[in-house]
Amino acid sequence: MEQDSGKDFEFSRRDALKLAATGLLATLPVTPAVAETKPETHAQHNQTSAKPAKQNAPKTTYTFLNRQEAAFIEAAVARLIPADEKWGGAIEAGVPNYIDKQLGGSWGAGERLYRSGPWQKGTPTQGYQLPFTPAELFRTALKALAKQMKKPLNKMTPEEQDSFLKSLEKGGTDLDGVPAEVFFSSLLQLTMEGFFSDPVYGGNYNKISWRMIGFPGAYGSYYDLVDKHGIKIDREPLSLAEDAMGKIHTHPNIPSSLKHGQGGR
Amino acid sequence: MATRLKPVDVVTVGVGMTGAILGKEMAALGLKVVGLERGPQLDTVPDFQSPNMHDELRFAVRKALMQDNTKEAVTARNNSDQTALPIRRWDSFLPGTGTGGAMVHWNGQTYRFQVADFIYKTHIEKRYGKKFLDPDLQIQDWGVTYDELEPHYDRFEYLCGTSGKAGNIKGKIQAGGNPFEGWRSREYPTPPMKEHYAGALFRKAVTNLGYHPFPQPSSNLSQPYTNPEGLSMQTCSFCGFCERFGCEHYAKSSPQTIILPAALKMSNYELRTGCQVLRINLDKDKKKATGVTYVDAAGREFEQPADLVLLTAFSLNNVRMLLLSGIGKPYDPKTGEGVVGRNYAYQTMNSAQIFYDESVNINPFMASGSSGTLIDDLSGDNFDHGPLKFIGGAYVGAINTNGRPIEYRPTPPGTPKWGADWKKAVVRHYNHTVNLNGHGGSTASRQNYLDLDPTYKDAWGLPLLRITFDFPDNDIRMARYIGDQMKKIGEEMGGKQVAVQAREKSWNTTVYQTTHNTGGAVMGTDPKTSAVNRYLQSWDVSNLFVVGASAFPQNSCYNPTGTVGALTYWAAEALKRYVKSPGAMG
Amino acid sequence: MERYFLYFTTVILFSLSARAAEPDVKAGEQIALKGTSAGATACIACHGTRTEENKSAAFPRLVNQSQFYLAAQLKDYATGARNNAIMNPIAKALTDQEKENVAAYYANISFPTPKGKKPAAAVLKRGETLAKVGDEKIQVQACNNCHGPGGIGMPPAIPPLAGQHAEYLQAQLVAWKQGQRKNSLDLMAPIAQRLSEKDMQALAAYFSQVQVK
Repeated sequence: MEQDSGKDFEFSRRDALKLAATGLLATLPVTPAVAETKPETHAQHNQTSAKPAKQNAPKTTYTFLNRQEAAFIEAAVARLIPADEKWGGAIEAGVPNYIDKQLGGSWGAGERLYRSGPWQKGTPTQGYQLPFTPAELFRTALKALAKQMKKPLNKMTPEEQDSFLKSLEKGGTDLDGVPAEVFFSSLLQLTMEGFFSDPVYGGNYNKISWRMIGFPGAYGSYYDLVDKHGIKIDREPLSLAEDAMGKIHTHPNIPSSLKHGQGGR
Repeated sequence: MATRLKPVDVVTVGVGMTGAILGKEMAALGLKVVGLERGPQLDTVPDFQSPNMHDELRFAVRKALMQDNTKEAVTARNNSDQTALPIRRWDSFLPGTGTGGAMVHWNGQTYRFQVADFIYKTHIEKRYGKKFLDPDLQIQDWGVTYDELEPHYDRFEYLCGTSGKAGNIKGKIQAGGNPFEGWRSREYPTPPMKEHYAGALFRKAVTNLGYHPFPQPSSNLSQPYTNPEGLSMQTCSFCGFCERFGCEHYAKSSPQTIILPAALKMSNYELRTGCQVLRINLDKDKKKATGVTYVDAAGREFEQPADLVLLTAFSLNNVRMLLLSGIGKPYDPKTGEGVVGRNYAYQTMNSAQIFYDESVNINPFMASGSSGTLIDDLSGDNFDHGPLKFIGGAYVGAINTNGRPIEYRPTPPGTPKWGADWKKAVVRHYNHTVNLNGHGGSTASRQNYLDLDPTYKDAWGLPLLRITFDFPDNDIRMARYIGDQMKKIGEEMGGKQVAVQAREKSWNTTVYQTTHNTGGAVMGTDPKTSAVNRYLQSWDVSNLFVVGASAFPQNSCYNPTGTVGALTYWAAEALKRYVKSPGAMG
Repeated sequence: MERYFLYFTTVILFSLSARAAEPDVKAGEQIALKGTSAGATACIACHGTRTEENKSAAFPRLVNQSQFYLAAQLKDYATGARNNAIMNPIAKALTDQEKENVAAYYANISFPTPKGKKPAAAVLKRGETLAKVGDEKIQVQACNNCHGPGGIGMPPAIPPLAGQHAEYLQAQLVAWKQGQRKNSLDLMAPIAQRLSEKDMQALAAYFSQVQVK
């Protein structure tokens, strides 16, 4: 059979003519007008990742936080990142789940923290100088707050909650050794992580934050697009933990180190 | 009790960039070389593969590729009146670990210092007079000139395959390049990277203002390339996960992609990982190194005798190793005497944001670590400092490298840090903001130095390194000036709002500001003000060379890696002469 | 299949320079069914339609592709950056707007991966390893870095490999290795050059059977 040079797949003019001769073309159905194609084809064709995700995180199965602590965390993060008319917030994203798993895992136990004493209060530029691991910090602070607060956070109105959180943020009070502002900034940091990190860690449910801002996620390769200035990238964001079917396999306790072949040759 | 091993010719303390290059150079001479690396061996496959590598939380926030700070940290204070406390989590700077060191997770930004940088003291005093400098400043000449280093810059750039556009070839200014750069002997090995939208907006504005934009020199390559070691690299995909991450594509120049395989091929080169060096051992006269003592991953102590010790452990670790080993006189800021720890410097970073209309899609996540556009008009001594009353400057550019949302969520000043308004602002501005950086130099001063901490120890029981550092007033005045120029550039860029953050005192260990720690074992021609001579050979111990940014007498505005690479090859040539005829090289 | 409609919809807005107007899917359908008066053959001869694909392994499946990528291939066929005796004259006969229109017609359609003969386990394993991990010995990174989980693609610029005919995938790698396919050269040629024929077969076999729902 004639082979044309420079082909990128096995096909030739002869094949095309043969195909035409079989009359198969005549049997292929004439595509109806676009508007009549299958409804789901057309409707979903218009759906972009920019539309609000309808799925919300399921209820958290807590393994670290007790009921009282969880109630506080849920109430707090709901104010730190509230839901609005367009996008869900921390609760819908599963941030309490993220926080629970982080505090209960190796990060909470003190991974990546230099833990030797003595401990001294430093200047603001010297950073965190307390002996508490994140788990200890949260447990201590939440216990102290439970004692100090006349009304639990989840029983307050949203305005009261915001006011309370702002006072924590301002700081100046002591939570059994944890300065209020240190607790608040740790809580805010974990909340932001839980909202924006890869869903593999149990937060950012259904990649809600990535859809919200237009961040394409863990798969990134833009050689052909970087010089298309101003192009709108609107594809479904991708988690590092999702498979070809779109299922996300969470794995909250990924270590904060990268080891391979340690110990020498 | 340490097990004494069979002697070797050369041992390198650390197998990062400097250790890998020198390890290969020494092994190529037929010498028996051992590279001791505290961290693990890391390879592009499987260790740097995405999607697992593209995990912002793990690598950018939790610092998975960095030195294990649970075992060994650094203490810090802003001045000698304070008590230094441990940096308990890496933030301000991020030392590397493992084979390749910090060159695994760097951004690939590859610069040369300027001609005047190497004779900085002479140059400044000549132009502005001795009285121009603030009394606390302690700038020095390097003992080596740009012209002497040029062939080694060239060699390093061709090792990396750096992508860029020459601005000055043998004195002839080239269109499209940096007209302020020192002369180079030939073009870059690969062409410049594609320009992203932010870079294009910046280019237009600075051109209007009369500045000279050029593409950022990038060791994340613009096209496939095979280097003189026979190692091949691929094309950067602009994935937006560059600094703090390893490169999945063999596109970022890291020792494992550009040089280490060449060393590992040689039977006389041996890599040992998981080996923490405790000290360099000296003979009883303390004039010769006899080798090093190290502890392996299982806690077993070994003595590795060697004829030649190359201290290639990163600037901070180099200085600490000298202090722990009792090599050289430690610097005393009160008397000004001593050299080990002297002239520690850093980087003076400034930033600005230009907020655009919602219709302008900047797409910050489409970026390489080094595909920006910048100007050199405001750096070094490229402008007249006489009326301004400070020295030094900054390169300014649209050099943003990523859009990773845990850490990158620009909002205008006054935006709350949480709540409904915060959320709306993040959505409004995330994809419609350009970031500028003013990457400023760091002038050495009498009060900034390194020594051993009196209180805090590492897991092996040894004192941590102590950093005493704050920005000299000179550098704060420089930062303010740079900030003002950045504001003008931002306004010319045509957004809706410009915000500028010029560096202010004091140095804050909790805010990332580059891992460009320099000095502490500076090079020079006078043993009273330098720890190593112009070949990076220790004045005190002639069979010890200390290679890294520890050699910088002060830091210019540019990222150090290019200059460290040039110094490494410069030292390699000296070492070739040394092994033929050992002794002090003056 | 559902998720592909969500996944692959891409709205492209070029804000700065003058570009082709919004694609006309209906006009694209006409080109697909009837060809053009300038001599472009009807696409359905080989590529089926949006509702019924041509299952022959002689032609690549146009499934889960983006308009951006399809239009770019047509442009490259027109210039010769991609060489194929059938596609070159067809692409040359299309105007730029027609390329966008017919690309928009074929974009985003999805059909399930055909269940062909399963490759040998060892071949599948090798393909899967190269796809997900790579091979340091031959300096090849994982295909999925760019082509997405399971090779489902990364729109708009990076095409899916999942479910594509193995023969076609292998032929592309060969074409890059031998220098016949010149588009995406800086990205694909170094990889293709490092792959042996066996590895190409393994990759092609692996991706051809990845189910995408």
